Amino acid sequence: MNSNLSCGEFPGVRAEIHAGILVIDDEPLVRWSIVAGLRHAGFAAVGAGSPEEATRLAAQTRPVLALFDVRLWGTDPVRLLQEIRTLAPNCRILILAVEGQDLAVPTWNGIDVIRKPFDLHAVVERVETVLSRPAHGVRMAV
Amino acid sequence: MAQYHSRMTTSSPPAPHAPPVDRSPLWGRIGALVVMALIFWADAITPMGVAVPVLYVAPVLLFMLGGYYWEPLVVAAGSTLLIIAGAYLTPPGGSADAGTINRVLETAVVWISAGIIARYRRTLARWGSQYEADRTGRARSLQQLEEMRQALDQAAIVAATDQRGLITYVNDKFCEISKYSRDELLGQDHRIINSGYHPQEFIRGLWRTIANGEVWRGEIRNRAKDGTYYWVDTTIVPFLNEQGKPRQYLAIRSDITQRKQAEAKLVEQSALAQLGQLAAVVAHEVRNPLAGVRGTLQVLRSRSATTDGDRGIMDAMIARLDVLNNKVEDILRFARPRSPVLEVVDVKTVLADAASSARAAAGPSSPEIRLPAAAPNVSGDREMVRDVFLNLLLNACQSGSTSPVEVRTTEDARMVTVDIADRGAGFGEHDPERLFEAFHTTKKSGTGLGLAIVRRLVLLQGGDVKLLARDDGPGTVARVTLPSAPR
Repeated sequence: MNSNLSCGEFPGVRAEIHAGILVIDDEPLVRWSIVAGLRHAGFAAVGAGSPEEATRLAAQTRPVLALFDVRLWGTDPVRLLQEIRTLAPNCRILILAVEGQDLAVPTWNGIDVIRKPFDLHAVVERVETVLSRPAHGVRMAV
Repeated sequence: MAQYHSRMTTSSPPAPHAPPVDRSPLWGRIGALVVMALIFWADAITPMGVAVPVLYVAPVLLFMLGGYYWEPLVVAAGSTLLIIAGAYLTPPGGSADAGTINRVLETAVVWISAGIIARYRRTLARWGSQYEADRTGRARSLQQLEEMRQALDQAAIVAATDQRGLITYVNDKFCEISKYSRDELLGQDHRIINSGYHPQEFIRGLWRTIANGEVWRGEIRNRAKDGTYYWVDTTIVPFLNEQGKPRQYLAIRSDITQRKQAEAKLVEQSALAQLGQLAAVVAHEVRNPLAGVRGTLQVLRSRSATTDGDRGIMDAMIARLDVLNNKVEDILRFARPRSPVLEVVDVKTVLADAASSARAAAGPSSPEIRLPAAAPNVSGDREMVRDVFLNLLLNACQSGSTSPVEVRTTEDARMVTVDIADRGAGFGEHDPERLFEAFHTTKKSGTGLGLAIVRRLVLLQGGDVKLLARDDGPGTVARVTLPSAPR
């Protein structure tokens, strides 16, 4: 996704942060729009459309944050999460989920959830909030 | 309950050959002796020529309906002796010849009547028992009829109407279930309890059947005086006159409200369960792409120049997507509400919060909302309670009236009642129960889920909600009851 977005359209632009963010969602438009929004805000974001692509990209880019849809092709989200944590130990997590959807995981303790449909500005703000917290402050209780 | 007299249950028609001697012969004999003594005394003190001895016919007649055949003859013989004795004791007066002729004639009359009675007393007794049997038979039929009526009145809701359908009789159970007094019902037709639930065709079919002299059976929903509904299993029997035209209709009903409610609840629950599953799938399948489209539109919008006219179009698209999403959310909230998290909810604070949101949503022409100065606490889910009040207050604000919306709270031992009263047009001919059904809307726009969600949320919290017509003029009262908070 070539980012020739004009800055200033999204608030809180921090061009100096080039932290890698991995967006994992099977809906291409969701993936594309979040990636575009984050890049526009100055983040280095990549999208993954499948668990395999997600693990490959996690190994390559060592992301500091992964956003992902828990309803990803019926994948066990906990396993995928653990794989990503193994590949990138400092990776923080943001869950994408539809309102009212049961998260189908034991406890997502301390992990933020973004409800779909979302406002792109709100997503960028949430990403900034999560990145401003220390990575080890986030623990998954399973 | 009336009882049979034992005499009635044990008496049987007299057998033709049985001696008819059982009609209180003892009292007849004693009576005959007493009467004879009295007549003799009267004869002895009245002057000769006064026809007192003719009265000796009376003791003879006492055996008309009973006793042995020889008894009237014995009385006649006794009377003859007394007549002769009387002739010697009576003070003189009138003509002695006339007195003698009189006494001979009187003796003859006594003997003739004694002879007739001795001969025909069986027949006479039979006529007497026949008459008595008829009388007790009629009394018994009447009594049986009365007992049947009493039993029916205990068992069923009964009403009779004339051929025009005007109520001529209602029993206590009818008054009890309809909550009208007997005076209010008599002379009215059944429209007084019509709930407006059944289609015209249903009512017409009923009348066609009974007007043709046929029995009609069916289940009808009626409305009581206080606006509540009840279901009755109904049988209407027409009674015809000589021309074969209905003269009156008797309607026998039984209360099946609970069964109907249970059935409706079952249907609703299974429908809700299916809807819930469907909604969950649809919600995800709709909202996921919706999220993609909305996000993408936002990116495209930010890439286009600020002066580009397409920006307005894209804003409108995003706004429409939000509306769409809200509708999906409504359906989901109705079909799959979360379980309530019960806590002590301060109704006053929640009402104030909901009222300000409702007024904001209703726009600048919204009427004022008058909240109570104090309100009791309830046990409920704060979010859900707020949703309920917000929905009802918003409806009240949009009722079309500019008069203030009044909120009142009352409390008894178990429940807190919150009345939200507007001065709008009311629900008119609409059935207020139906307004709570899902997808039933009277507004031009809307999913028709507002009141359905309200009811669902209130029921989940162990409460109830009703719409009532204001009794002091036009307008609607939405009445929410919720369990009181434990003290």
